[in-house]
Amino acid sequence: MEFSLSTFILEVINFLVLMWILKHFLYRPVLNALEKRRASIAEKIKRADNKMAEAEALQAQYHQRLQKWDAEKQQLQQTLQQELQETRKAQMTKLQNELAEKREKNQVNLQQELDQTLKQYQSQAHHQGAQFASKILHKVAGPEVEQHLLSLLLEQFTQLDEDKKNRLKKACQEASQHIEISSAYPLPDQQRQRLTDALTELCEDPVTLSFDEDKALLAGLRIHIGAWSLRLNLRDELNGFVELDSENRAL
Amino acid sequence: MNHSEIAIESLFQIGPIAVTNTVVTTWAIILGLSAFIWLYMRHLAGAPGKLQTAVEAVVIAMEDAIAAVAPQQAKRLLPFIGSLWIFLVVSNLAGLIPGVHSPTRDFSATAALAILVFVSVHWFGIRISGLKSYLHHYLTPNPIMLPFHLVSEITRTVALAVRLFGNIMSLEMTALLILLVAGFLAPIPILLLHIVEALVQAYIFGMLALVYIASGIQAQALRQSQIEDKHTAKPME
Repeated sequence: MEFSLSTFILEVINFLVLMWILKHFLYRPVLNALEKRRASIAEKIKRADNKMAEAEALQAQYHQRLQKWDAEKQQLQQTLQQELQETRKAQMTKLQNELAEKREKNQVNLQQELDQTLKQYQSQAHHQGAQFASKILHKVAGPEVEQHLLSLLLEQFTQLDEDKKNRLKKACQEASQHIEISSAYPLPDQQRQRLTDALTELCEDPVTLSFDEDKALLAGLRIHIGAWSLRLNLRDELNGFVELDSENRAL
Repeated sequence: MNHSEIAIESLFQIGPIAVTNTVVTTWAIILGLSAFIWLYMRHLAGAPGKLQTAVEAVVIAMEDAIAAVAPQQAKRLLPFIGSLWIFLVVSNLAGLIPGVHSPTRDFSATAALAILVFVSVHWFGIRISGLKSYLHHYLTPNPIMLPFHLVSEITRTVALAVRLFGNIMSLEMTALLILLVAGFLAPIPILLLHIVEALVQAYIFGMLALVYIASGIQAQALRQSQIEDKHTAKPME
């Protein structure tokens, strides 16, 4: 174990030099680099924290906005629902009214159709009845029927009211007391006389009668006094059915 | 066994100063470390590579080790303690190179380092606590302790120097003896032990230096806190 003072001194100097070199060229740059890196990392962390805070603030803001939008959406939905209900209600009312109107129209149309059908059937019935009556009356028509009809006519003359009598009297005067009488069968003298008497009494003046035969009347008489025409024969009665049917149709 | 294998040779003379192989090896180590640092600094980048990461890891590990003992003075103590560790590791391992001897097998070198530690304890103690306050700690807890403190200062410094010198010198000598007795490749296990021992001794030396410095600083801090406690306790009485 030797001790050399020069080695001792040189080693002290050597170590101090080494320490200076290491301090200035190793520790300081390394520590500075580490410090810079730490600062950079801290800065990045700070920036990240700031961004995080901003993101959280934005998230909160968006959350609030979403809530607001939800509330607005809900309110709008409620309003829309109300409007829809009101519209639906109005449309339903309108539709019901239209349906009621249509139903009423349909009922009217149906009623009209029914009436028309009924009238048609009635007309057919009348027509068929007239045909049937015409066939029967053709078979039953004869001088006896005509005699009964004449009796019936004369009886009706007696039942006329004063107004009708006056008008007939006036018609006689206008026709210069000339009266034309058509019959389906030749009238016997007795019946002609009865007719002459009745008409003379009705016109209150002597009248001249002219007789002719018209087989189309089937049975009965047709008396023309000027513009007047008194009809009591089967043909005209049957025509009366047809006219009545035509009148009903016209209505 | 040649005497020159163990003896410290004086290689040349610069005036009155004899330059030994220990000093030359130390210069070589300083040059090697400087070259490494120069190369390292050339490749210093913001995104560290493998080498930079390794160097940074070493520096951080040393700083953390110092901070574990003296948390508030870690940055101030790092150049001295860190340099001790680096220099001792490299110096101790230099003996593994054939033809090269560890500078730390020379008592003059270990004594120089021990003296530097001795000076640095007072240097840091005075710089941090002030001269009066620092010197006062030799009188605590009682002025009777002053001789013991003084003896302790000397013995621990001597112990530092002798411990490192003894370990490294004995390792080299052992390896040399085994080589002489058993032949080539026989000292390999001892060389492996040399590696472990070199690292352990470097750590112990540096850690003891750190503990001595920290104790000098913290003794003052403890005393100051006790004084402050007394001052704050008085109004209560």
